[in-house]
Amino acid sequence: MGGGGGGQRRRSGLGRLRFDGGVTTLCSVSVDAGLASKPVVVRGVTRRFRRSLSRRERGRAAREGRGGTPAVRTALDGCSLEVVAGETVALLGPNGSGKSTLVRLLLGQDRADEGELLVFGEPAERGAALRRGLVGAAFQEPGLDHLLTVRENLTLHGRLYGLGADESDARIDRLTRRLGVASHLHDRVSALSGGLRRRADIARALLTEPRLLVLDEPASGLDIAGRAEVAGLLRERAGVAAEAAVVVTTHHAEIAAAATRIVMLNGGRVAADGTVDELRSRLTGISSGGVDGEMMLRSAGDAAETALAGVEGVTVRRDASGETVASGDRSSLARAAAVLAEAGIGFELELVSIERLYHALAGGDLERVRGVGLGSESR
Amino acid sequence: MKERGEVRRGSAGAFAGLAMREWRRFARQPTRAVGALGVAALFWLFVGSGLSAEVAERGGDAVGAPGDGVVVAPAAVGEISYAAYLMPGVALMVIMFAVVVWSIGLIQDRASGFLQSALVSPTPMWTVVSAKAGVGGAVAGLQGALILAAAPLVGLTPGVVNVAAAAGVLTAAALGVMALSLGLAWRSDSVAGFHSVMNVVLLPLWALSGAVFPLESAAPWLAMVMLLNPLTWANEAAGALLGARGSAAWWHVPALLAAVGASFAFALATMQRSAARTRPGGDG
Repeated sequence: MGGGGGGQRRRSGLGRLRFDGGVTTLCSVSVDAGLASKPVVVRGVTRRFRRSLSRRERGRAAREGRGGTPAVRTALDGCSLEVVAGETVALLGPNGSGKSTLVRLLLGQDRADEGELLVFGEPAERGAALRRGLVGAAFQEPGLDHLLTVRENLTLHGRLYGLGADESDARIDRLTRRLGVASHLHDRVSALSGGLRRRADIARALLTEPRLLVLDEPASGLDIAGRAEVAGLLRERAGVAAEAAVVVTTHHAEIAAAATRIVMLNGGRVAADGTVDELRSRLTGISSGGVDGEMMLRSAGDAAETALAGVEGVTVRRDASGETVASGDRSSLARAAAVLAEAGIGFELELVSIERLYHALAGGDLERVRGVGLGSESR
Repeated sequence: MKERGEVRRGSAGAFAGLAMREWRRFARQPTRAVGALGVAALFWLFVGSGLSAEVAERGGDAVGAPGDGVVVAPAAVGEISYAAYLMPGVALMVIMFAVVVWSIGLIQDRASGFLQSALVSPTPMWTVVSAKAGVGGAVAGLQGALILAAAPLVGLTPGVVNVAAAAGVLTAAALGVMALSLGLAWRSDSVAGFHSVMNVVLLPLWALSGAVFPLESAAPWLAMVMLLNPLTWANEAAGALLGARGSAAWWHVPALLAAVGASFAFALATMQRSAARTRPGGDG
C-alpha cells in the first residue's frame, strides 16, 4: 500500500508535528493534509482469506487434477469509498459482504492484500490514529466488564488512553448525561438492559472525543426497543462532535435509516452508495423528496405497461426480469392500481424500503437494482 | 501540538487501572477463592489422611523412610506425617486452581470484547499482560499461602519469617504459572479447549513437582524430569522453609525466578504473535 494522494510532501524529524505547504508530518510519516482531513479513504482495497484444505478436500482436488491449492475467499474485492468529516455512514450488507473485514482493516486489526486504506491520511494498519484516540470503536460485543460498574468501566478506559482523573470524570459525566446513562453510573454492567449497555459502550468509545467513531453492529442482540434506542442515538449523533464522522455496520434497516449516507456492500464491493432518499429514488425512478415509505407497483407481462401509459404522475418501465414497474407518489399509484383493477390485470404493491434494497442485494438480484440506475459500483 | 481528541500514552495509570479491575473482579466473585481453596483442602484432608495410614502401615518403606507414617526422612527434618509432606504441594494445587480460573477470565475478556477494546488502546500489550498476570499471580499466590496457616495442624512449626519466605516462593511460582497459563489461554478459542490443554500441561507439572511423592523415591528417569520442573524447585524451596523437606538447593529460588521471567516472555510473545497475525473472522 502506497502513500496517499497527491500534493507536496516533505519529511521532518521523528515525533514532530508540522503544518507546511499542506503537508502534515507525524512521527516521520508524510501525510497529505487533504487526506489527513478525511477520516477514511478506501481505494481499491482487496482482502482475501486463504484456508488450508482438509485431507478429504486435498484428495478430491488431487483426483480432479486441481492440486492442493488452498481455498480462497475474497472478503473485499476492490472496494473504494470515502468518509468525510461530519457524516454518519452506514455500511449495510448481507453476511460475508465485507463489512466486518472493512471495519477490522479500518481499526488496524488486519491488512489489505491490495489497495490503500487511510485513516486521517495515515495507513490504517499502523493503527496510529486509534492509539492517539482519534478513532473510537464499539464492537459487536460491548467492550465493558460486566462485573464493574459503568463508571468503573469508563474510568478504566480513560486510564488506558492516559486521560487524567479530572478530565476523565468530567467527560464521563458529560457523556453519560448526553447518552442517558448518568443514572446508571454506579450500576454494574451485568444489571443493565441491552440498550443501556450499548449506550454505556458508546460512551466508552466516545470518551477520547474521537474524530472517527466506528460502531460494528451496534444493534446486534438488541430487541426492537433497543434497536430504536441505538437508531435514535445515531440520528441525534448524541455525544459525537459535529466535525466527527461516524461509520456504523449493521444488518438492520432502522439503524441504516438513521445514517446520513448508506453504503451497501455485496460480495466485497460497494454495490450502492447514497442517502436513503437517493437510494429510494434510484430504485423507484422518482425523487421521494424525503417522504418515508415510497411505494412501487409491479405487474407481470406487458398488459400493465399499455394500461398505465396514460396515467398521470406514474412512471412506467420494464425491469430486467421483464416485469412492468410503475412508480410515483401514493396518489398516482392509487390511480394506477384502480386502472389495473378495472382492466382485470393483476399487480402487487411494494413498499420501497431499505429492506427492499437490502434483500435485492442479499438475494443477488443486483441486475434489477442496477437496471434502474442504482449503484455507484466501484471495482 | 496535540490535535483535538488526541490522548497521551500512559502506562502507570493504565497498569493501576487494569490491576484494580482484576482485583475487583476477584473480590466480586468470592466463589473463585472458595472453589480453589475448598478443593485443595478436601484433597489434602482425604489424600493426606488416607495415605498417611497406608504409609504408616508400610512403615514408610515405600518411600524409603523409617518410622510410622513417615514418607521422607531427610536428616534435617526428622519424621513428618504424609499430610505435612503434602502441604507445599497442596498450596501449589490451590495456586493452580486459582490460575486456571483467572485464565478463563482472559478467554471471557476476549469473548466479551473487553480485551479487544484494551488492545486497540495506546496502552502497550505488556502492560495489559503484566497487570493480568501480576495481580492474578499475586492473588493466586496469597490464596496458596493461606494453606500455610494450617501448618501447626499437621505438626509443622515454621517461624513467621519462614512462612513469609515460603509465601514469597509460592507467589513467585504462582506468577510463573499464571503467565504460562495466560499464554496458553490466549491461544485457546474456548474454555473447554483451554481446560484440555491445562490438564495436559499443568497437571503433570504439579504431579511431577514432588507434591505427592518425593524426588528420592522416583525412578532415575522420572527424577531427572522432576529436577527440570520449575514447580519442583518451588516445592522444594517452600517445603524446606516450612520444615516439610530437607534443605533446598541454593539454585532453586534463582532458577524459579528465571523460569517466571521465561513464562512472562512466553506469554508476551504469544500474545504479540497472535495480535500481529491476521486472520478472518466475523460475518461480514
